[in-house]
Amino acid sequence: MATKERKRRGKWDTFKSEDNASSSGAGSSDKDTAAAVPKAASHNLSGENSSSVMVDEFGAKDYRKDMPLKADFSARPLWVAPDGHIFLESFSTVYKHARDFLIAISEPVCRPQHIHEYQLTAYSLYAAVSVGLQTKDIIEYLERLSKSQLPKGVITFIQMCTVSYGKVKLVLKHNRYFVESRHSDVMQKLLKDTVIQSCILDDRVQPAQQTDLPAQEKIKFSHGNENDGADKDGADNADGKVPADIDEFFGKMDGDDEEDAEIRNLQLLTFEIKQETIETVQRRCIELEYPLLAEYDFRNDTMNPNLGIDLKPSTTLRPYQEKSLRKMFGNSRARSGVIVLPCGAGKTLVGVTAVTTVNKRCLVLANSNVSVEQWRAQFKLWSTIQDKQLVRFTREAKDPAPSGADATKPVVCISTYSMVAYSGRRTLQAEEAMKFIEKQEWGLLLLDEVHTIPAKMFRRVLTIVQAHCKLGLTATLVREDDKITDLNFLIGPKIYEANWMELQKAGHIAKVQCAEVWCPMTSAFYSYYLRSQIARKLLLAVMNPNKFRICQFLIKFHERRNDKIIVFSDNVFALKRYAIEMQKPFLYGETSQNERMKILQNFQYNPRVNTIFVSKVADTSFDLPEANVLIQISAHGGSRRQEAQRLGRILRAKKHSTDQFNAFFYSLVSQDTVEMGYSRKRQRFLVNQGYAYKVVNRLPGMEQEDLKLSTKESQLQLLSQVLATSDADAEEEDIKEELADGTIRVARREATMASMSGGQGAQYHAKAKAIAERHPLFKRFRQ
Amino acid sequence: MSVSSSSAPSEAPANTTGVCSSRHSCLFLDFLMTIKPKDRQRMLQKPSCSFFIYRMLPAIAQQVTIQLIWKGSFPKADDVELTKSIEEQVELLLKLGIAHKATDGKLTIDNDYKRSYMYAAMLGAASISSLVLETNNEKRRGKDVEKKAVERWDCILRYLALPSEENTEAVSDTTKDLFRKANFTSGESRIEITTFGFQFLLLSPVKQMWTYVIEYLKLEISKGNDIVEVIEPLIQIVLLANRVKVAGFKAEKECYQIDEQWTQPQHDLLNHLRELGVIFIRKRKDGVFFLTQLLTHLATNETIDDTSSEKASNGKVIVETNFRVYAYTSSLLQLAIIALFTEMTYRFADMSVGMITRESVRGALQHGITAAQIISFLRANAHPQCVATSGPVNCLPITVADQIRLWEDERRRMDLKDAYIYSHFESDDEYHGVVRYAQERGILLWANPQQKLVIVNEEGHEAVRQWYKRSKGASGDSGAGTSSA
Repeated sequence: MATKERKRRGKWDTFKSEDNASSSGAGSSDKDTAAAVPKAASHNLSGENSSSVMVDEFGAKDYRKDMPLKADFSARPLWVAPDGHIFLESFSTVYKHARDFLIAISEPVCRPQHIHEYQLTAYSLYAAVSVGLQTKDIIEYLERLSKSQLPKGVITFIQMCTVSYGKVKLVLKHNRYFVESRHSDVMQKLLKDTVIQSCILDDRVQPAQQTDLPAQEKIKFSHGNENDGADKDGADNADGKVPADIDEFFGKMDGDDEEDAEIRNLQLLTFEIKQETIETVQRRCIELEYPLLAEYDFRNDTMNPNLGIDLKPSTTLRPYQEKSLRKMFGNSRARSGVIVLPCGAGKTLVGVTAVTTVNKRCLVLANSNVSVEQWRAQFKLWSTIQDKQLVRFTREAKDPAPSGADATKPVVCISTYSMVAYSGRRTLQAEEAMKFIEKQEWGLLLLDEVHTIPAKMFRRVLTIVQAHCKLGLTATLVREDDKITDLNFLIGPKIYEANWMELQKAGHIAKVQCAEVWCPMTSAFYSYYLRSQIARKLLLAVMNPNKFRICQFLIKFHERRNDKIIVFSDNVFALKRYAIEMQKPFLYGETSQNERMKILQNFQYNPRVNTIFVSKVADTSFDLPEANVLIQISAHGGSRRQEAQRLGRILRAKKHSTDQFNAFFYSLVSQDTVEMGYSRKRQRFLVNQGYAYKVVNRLPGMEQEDLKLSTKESQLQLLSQVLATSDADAEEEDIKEELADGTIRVARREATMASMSGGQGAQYHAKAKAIAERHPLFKRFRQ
Repeated sequence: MSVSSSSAPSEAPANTTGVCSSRHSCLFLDFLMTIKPKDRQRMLQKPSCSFFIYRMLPAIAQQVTIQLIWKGSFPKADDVELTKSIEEQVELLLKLGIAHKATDGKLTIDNDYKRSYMYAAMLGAASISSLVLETNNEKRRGKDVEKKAVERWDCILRYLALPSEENTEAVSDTTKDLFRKANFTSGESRIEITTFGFQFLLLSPVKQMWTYVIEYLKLEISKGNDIVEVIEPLIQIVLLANRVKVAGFKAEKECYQIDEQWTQPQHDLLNHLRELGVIFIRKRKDGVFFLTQLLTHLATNETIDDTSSEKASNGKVIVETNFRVYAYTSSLLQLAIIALFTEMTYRFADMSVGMITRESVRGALQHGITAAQIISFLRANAHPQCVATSGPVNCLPITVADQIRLWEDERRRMDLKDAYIYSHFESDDEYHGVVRYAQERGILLWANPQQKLVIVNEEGHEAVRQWYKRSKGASGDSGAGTSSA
């Protein structure tokens, strides 16, 4: 449905919806499948009391009366506005205390250098509860961190959103599903509900046998250095500037979030439910405002065999990776949820570690064949997994599904979303593999780049795959729409979100200089631009000769520095035209898997291939650790997610890590065209992460460079070629779905490529000129 | 045929008042050049004045002056660049009447100036002053000197930024008059701030004070008062700033007698300095005044105040790379200034949040505030935290500064020129005739045969009109049209 709709609306219009609705398709039309979302989750603070907000003389919301300052306000780092926005001073002495807490209870809005902004939402509070925070602790700690008294509205909001959350858990033990709670009133309420009654296996509610609770054993991820952090914290606090109440509470928060002693003393009540009714129970509980927290007690799962793999001794986790995993395995059980880390910050390692921790059968779903290969390689790199324990299941590399005696042995299976969700006819081999996947009871379902999949496909995957625990990994949980929050309830809450700027400062990801390069339109192009339809306008903007020349200049400039350059273009016509003109390899949707791998390998290892042109197929999951320069010549409208994902291609930490920028991201924009507006929209996500785009409207040294399209004639020739293209060429490419039977369904009309022939005869003049001195442009970046 | 013209509104404001004086000139010296030579000569005869003028001179001009006074000549520089800058400074000295050029091109120092300067140099700044120092024994007289001083000055700025009734009552009539004459405010009953007023608010405190003082002096001249009579006590007081700068200076400890013999304009001056907050007088009958820290502003050469460390330490504004502005202040005045170019979103007791947006900056630009002024204001008021992490220039993220400048440039991309459009031609022949004529004369800007429209540049209009009259005899012009860009 989603794809059909896209076609109808015309591709360039779709960015608007795409931009906002990352997981579209969860339309209200199909009520049956739509995930129920608790009512409380749809509350939001800002809407409720906006009518009563005072406005000061400058048009700002005036909260001075609502928020009288405390006497020692300067020692406390937070302003908590009654509309749920929280401002945090990053230079405060108690910043560290506040940061982790805020990440747990609220959504980061923006985190630049000095003042971070967060927002309390129903979802974020749900997530907070699900990682073990209690309502009163949240309010208490927030109160202590705040410079002023907490506004009443905020307190009520927190209570409203959290009071019913996290009270009831769905636990899988010995392959039986139990609903578990220490709150007898809640249990009573659930038991009285007729829907739930019908699902109960044994209608007696039993106090759980206390012997079932083993002394909770702390799960360790790395080799013994876990306490380093805690010791340091202690030392830091010794300087005495931290208000005592904050410090005291911090210890409590930072410690393992085991349940409060008080609550622990309450008797744990459980009842067992029928396995086939889990979904009914889950939905019903959400309707009753007591969403079930899914937890997997993998230590006590004796039915599913262990994988028996571990991380290699040489593998070390970075602090933030460890922290995210600690949140996931908080009380020695595995929680479902989403971990958000920037691209290149080692999401894969987090995934691999999660697999080795759970140590049960695991299904990894990625969104392209290339990334399936990359996952496989990463498993072998970081863990002690055997080859035969790794099963790939893609349209190109189908390892045979384990059969016979091996069928019961635990494996790690890696596949793609489209493969699993495909509903058409499959080949025999694929059919067999699918049966294998359906039959298994997976300990962990790892969902890579979880933001990219439409909710509908996602639901299909979840109905096919039986998994105890789901872990989503992503870099860009762009959330302004309510759609992405559906993910929270389909997979679980956001468990952890890293701060890009802090990782950059610590050298875990590359330090990127972002630049928006303004390319003036030539007058000939602009006059046609003004008169054209939108699709043609965009093509004219991309094919702007000045943009071509600037692109070529940047490529030459960076190739001399021995940089590895990726050029992105959503528009395939432009992609081919640029690449052929500059004699560089290119790669897009129709490039075969084999050729893709060849190009990527050459790019990585061949010193003569320093530049590749790629279409949006390479947006996500293409791991190209060498690349450090990215030039974007055409993009998908105003998609913030795409911008962030593309940046991710060059984020992997570079070998020569210094204080200076070691990666460059250029976005080439034709001046005075729609691209300018789109570009601003696209940047919002990264700007909120603390990135700064430098606007470049003049590149020094361009005059001396021998660049193509320098004459008016050649520019006019290009213009006539652009005007001669068919409409199909003018549009950007559709991502073709990779089908299970190994064919690519080509949806596009075959384009008239006559226009391309002009480029074929072009010759490339390589100018081997040694750089005598640093280029002025280079100097500018080093300032 | 009908003709119409329209003059395009000029986008950039004209820089006319002293507010926009170029970076390297000193307001005080600029003012000196404008007063009558006779008055200026009288000033040069006063030791305190000559001493102060010397202080306000740029470094090279000081060198030249010293050389001329003691050696009667000054060495030539080998460097072409240097020679050029020396010549510029010599030009300045000539204009100020400190030096004179003889007919043979030889430079000599003004005798009056030389005498009074040497007198001042030998006695020292304090001794040339006729003000009488006494130690303050009555605590009462000097209570809260510093606090009151800053309050006074804020009062004046607040009047300008937010001319509410309450703020209006807090300033003297002369100040109101002064701001109106200086074109900072407009309107008689309902006062509104003008473009220049906004620009004034964005200036550094040193520039603001000097601007105020100069405007005051101009006002005095326009009243017909003797300017030298006013300037001399002013300079004598300003020279006392040396005392204020000394470590351990306690404002309430020392005071100066107010001489009853002073003329009315001199008393007025004193009252004004009191209003500015540079001196403090608790009650007229106390008969004494106190010096305050603000006096140092006037003693500073404003051309070199941009990086003054004193300001950097109490800045209050954080600007982030995502264009958010966090102002750690509850001062209405500061917020009013920030709100000029920022869209304010939150107001807390000790902090306000805003966003710099294209619209908000364009709004400010339309008020005649320049990008450079916004940027220098944000830099000058940067939060110590920003200065500590990024230095005095980058405390305002470069990208934000660039963007503000780009928003300004954006407005300049259109170069508007007046032009004339001709429409409603009676016949094809008439149309072609005009086109041909305009082409021949090279004044044709644009013509469209379908719509029969012709546009010629401003200069060409008269020629076309003449030509038309000639070819047509007499004909009426009518119709409407627009200007072309």
